[in-house]
Amino acid sequence: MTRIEGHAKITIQLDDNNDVADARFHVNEFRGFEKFTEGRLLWEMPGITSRICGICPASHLLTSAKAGDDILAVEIPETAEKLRRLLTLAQWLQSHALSFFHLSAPDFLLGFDSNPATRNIFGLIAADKEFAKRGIRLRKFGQEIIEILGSRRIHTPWTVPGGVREPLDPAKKDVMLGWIPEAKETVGLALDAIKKIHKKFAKEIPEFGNFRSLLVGLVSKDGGLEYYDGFLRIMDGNGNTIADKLDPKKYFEYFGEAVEPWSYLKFPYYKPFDYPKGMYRVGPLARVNICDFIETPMAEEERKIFKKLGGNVGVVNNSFYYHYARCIEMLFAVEKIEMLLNDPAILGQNIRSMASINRTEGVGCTEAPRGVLFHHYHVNKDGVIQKANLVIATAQNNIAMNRTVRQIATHFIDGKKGKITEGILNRVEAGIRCYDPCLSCSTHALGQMPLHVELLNAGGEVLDEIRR
Amino acid sequence: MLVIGYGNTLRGDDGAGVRAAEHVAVRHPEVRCVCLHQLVPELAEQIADCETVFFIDAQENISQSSARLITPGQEADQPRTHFLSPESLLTLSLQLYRHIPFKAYVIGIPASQFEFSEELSAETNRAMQECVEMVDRLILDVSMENR
Repeated sequence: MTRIEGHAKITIQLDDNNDVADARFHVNEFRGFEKFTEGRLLWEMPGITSRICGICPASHLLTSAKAGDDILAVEIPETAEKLRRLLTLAQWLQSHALSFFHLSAPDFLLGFDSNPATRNIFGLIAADKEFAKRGIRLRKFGQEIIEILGSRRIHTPWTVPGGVREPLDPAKKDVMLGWIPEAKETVGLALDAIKKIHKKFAKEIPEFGNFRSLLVGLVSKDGGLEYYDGFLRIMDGNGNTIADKLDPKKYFEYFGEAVEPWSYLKFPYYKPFDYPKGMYRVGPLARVNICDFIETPMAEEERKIFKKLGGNVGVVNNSFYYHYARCIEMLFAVEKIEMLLNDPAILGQNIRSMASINRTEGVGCTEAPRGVLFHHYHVNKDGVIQKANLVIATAQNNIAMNRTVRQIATHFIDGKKGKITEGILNRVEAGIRCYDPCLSCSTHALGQMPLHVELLNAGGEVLDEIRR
Repeated sequence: MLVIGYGNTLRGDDGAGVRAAEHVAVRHPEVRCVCLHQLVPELAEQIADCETVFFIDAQENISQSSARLITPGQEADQPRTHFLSPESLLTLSLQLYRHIPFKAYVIGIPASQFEFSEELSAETNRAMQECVEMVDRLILDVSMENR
């Protein structure tokens, strides 16, 4: 797989008639963060778990700190919460900008069948330099907020159990506000682009992970789009809310984790529906679907347009529209960052609640760019980690990603030819990229991103394979 | 001047580039130092704004810290957009901002232990110190050339 984060492999299995019988998305890396954090101190956990990923370290940092808040049994100061919210949105912005402008846009602007040697950021620059540059600068804006808040862009240890380490410097607030007009303009370009993309790929989109599944995410107390706190809501593929106001701290009561022998990536499912029928999707597509509204005006207008794609059902079930939902969330992030920065409370000096260990178990939950993220720790009375469980967004999309791969493979691959064309292969990959999977996070894997796709006949013999 | 140290500080010697850049930042407050997990596209703008850039990274299969000058290029396979090579970053700077530094160095620090650890091995720690001294000399050379 290319243009995703982490290692993966796809196998496409044919039946006796050489039709596609199955297709699987394998994740073949394993790191074991949950195991080696045992014995470390609770206060170290944000710094350690943020190293899981170089793309979304702030999400792990925040979720870990929230698990720490739970163990300390503290309510963090208002300013600390607002600063943490700012950091969450900066993480969304930089991650979504990378996904849309640099990982997926080459397919959209250059075409799925374009030359793979130039179907990348350099090809994108050649095709539309300003678009590529804007994407880089939007990501830079998100990164700059993270850097300002944490002094470092990656693996900042600024968020800690009980709050944050340092208040916001007023001069830095103005620097961040200075980015807002450009950021809004750039997200506007992205939204214009995605609507043109929908028209350009109108015939292909129905095959890109178009199926009903459960949708899971956080919503605010009043049902709005949420990213840092709130309740879990579960919606079915017909738009019915089947569970609402669920306490994220009891996630283990609602979700189970299945394993398959062919992948290190777990397969979380909704327990009442069992595995694999309890398939659910998380992330932008789920969040924009399940919320009743978005609190910022421009993003709310876009949400209404988005919902119309669901037709009479009122829910958008096609994974291709992850990209659109991601653009809407970028718009929300920019608008909300502006609101937070203009809130006088953001400059408060009371930023940390101090406490010692008051509970031996705690759960943190936030919406990471790719979906809802849980950190669950057990500690002893000294705060030493006895057990840790991390439930990552990408893993929660695992069943749906496999189904997406199967749908695309079934539609586009002609097994009788015994060959996979590069363009078809790229469509299969693009199906996975809709979810913007971060395999570093989900398996806690480390490394590069080789492509390996195998086409197997009914007897398991390799008919064709491609490696990059 | 810009110094970019990158690597994973939880993976033993892999963090040598970051450690070296942290030392350079203390010794040369006038030099902008950036510490990163991996090279990312948005560095292109900062690189385009400077006249000399140093990329410092841990490297296997070398016996001592060494510097080499690089020019814009691309990876042989598809460029990784979650992380890039120094040569690809120079290409990105050139294509997007029409400017690259007069000199771009990649400095490798010999590394061999990549297990979970926040400590450098003794050999890599020694090589990291040599690297910092090498960067001292190169910064001095560049400063003299610019006078």
